[in-house]
Amino acid sequence: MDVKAYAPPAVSLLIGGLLIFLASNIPPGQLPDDPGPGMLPAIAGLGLIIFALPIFFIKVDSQLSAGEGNFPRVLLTVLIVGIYIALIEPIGFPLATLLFLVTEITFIGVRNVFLIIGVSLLVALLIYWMFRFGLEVPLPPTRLGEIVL
Amino acid sequence: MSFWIEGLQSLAEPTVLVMIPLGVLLGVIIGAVPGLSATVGMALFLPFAFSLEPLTGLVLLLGIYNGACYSGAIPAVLLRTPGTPSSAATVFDGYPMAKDGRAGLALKISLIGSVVGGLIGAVLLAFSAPLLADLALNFGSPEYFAIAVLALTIIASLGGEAPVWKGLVSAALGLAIVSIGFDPVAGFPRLSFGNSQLASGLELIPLLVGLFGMSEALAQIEKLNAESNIMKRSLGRFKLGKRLTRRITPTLFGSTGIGFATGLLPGVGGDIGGFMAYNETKRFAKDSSQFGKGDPRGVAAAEAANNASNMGSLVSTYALGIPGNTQAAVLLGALLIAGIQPGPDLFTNAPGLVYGSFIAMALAYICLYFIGVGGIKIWARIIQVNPYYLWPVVIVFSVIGAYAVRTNVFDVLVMLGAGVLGYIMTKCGYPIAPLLIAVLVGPIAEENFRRAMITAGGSPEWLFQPLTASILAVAVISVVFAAVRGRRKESTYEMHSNSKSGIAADEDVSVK
Repeated sequence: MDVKAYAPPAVSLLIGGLLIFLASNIPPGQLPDDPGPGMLPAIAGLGLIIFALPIFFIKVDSQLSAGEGNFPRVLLTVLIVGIYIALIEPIGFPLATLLFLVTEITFIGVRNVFLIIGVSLLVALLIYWMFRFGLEVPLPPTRLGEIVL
Repeated sequence: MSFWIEGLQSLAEPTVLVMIPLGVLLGVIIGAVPGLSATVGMALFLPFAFSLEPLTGLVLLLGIYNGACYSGAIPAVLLRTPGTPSSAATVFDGYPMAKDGRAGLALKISLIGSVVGGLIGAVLLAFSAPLLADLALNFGSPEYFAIAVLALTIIASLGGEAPVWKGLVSAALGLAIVSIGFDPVAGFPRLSFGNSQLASGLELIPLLVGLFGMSEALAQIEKLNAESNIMKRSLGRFKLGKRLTRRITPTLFGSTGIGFATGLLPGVGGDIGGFMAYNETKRFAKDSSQFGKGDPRGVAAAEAANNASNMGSLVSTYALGIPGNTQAAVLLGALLIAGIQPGPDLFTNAPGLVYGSFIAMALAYICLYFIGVGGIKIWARIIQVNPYYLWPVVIVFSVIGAYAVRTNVFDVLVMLGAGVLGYIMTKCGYPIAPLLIAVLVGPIAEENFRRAMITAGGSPEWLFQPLTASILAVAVISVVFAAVRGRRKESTYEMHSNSKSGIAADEDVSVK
């Protein structure tokens, strides 16, 4: 059984069923003759089931999927981005971004330490200053002792 | 006439005028970088545009749209990889020209094609959108519901190479996403599970940035390889000469017409416009033997048509609030975020914005000519940008773009989730565009359906009003047509893959 071909329609069917169940628990509309707020999630759920069925039972093409690559690299990148997001508020945007860029660029294969640190530092500070002072977006600052970036 | 004067006046702001060349410049750079399409660029700059005045932000995004649409031809000519899907047909003759040492000429023709197609397309847009808007002023809830359904089905069924069922699943997933939060009629918090962040709905910017910026970054990081496929090529001469100019002129104008007309159909993007114009130019050419081997008319046809098609796609976006293609959907999102609802009323409520943006689009194409000619050698080098640094920086932009909306980590997590979803969908061959269109059009369909039902006292008779029924019939026909076409394409593919496996792969044109 080709798990890769069957997994997406199976997930669609599950989400569809779940949506219909959740929609059935939404109370009807207050206005007379209003189909109610549950209508859209119910239609979405029904659509997911109806349209995923042909993909599940008739073998709709699989040749259009993207080519093979380094999938573990994607998983680890998502993990690194997750840690980066978690660190933005505690340690501030500039330091979190610097750490993220150094880690990610090293992880994907660059080995020139000076270039990695140089590019990461430049990009982190440039983007931070552009958004914080140019666009006045209140990004969390980084505090290094007395210095506040 | 007074609307046009108001449009001109609104452009008199220095910041707006600066954004025209700046947007084009950014667009040219973005489109030239392999992997960065116009949609990704527009999504990444959406948070920046969001912080500006509505017209200023819109002009910036339109500049990126126009610039990227042209520069997608640069990697198409030099690398045989279209920078944007719109430039797919440019590869047929652009790449053979580059192999013959005529890369400079191919790039110059693609620039002229883009400017002519885009400029005439912008003029046609400026005159046709108000006509459609006038017509739409008489539309009520039933007609708006039918148009929203048509946009959803036609984009899901025709919008790309994926099978119709996958497009429809993507659209249904979009409807599920847009169900989260308060419903538009009664204000009931749906699918929020008691979470106040979910109750207010998912913000559009994190969704867009995730679906396009983050997912593309993940896909490109997956494909990174130590061996670089960038090749350095001699550009050769740039000058066209009188004979060649005369030869390509009829092609430019004919293809512009074809491109604009195809762009008017929802879901038919610049890529289809480019292919149609290319085929027609080849069919009507006295000597078609050089097509596919480096005929300059092939490049001119593809580029004029795809730029004109992109202008045509904006007609329904402005006049009805229904996006014609993915980039138009991002523009529509930008307007909605700024609190502006596109549609027929926009032409009378905010003429400065509408007509100002029309004039700005024409000016953007004039800027594009000078930026294109002035930096043609530089833009040709942008394709060599190091992807090992580029994609981590794109991730940083995606994170900050999502955070900037409400300075809220929840939005960044939504962006990451949308990025992972977009990556998985692309990997499994599900198109992202129908999901985005559903997110934008779903609330229009829901609100108008419910209002029509309430007004009609619960009777579905309104569905059989002549105009509503006709539009809905077209929606059903489009799905049936696409399903039949998909079955035929599949059996043809199976036949081909059985008979000449391994040969077809080498002839494929990869679209980034």
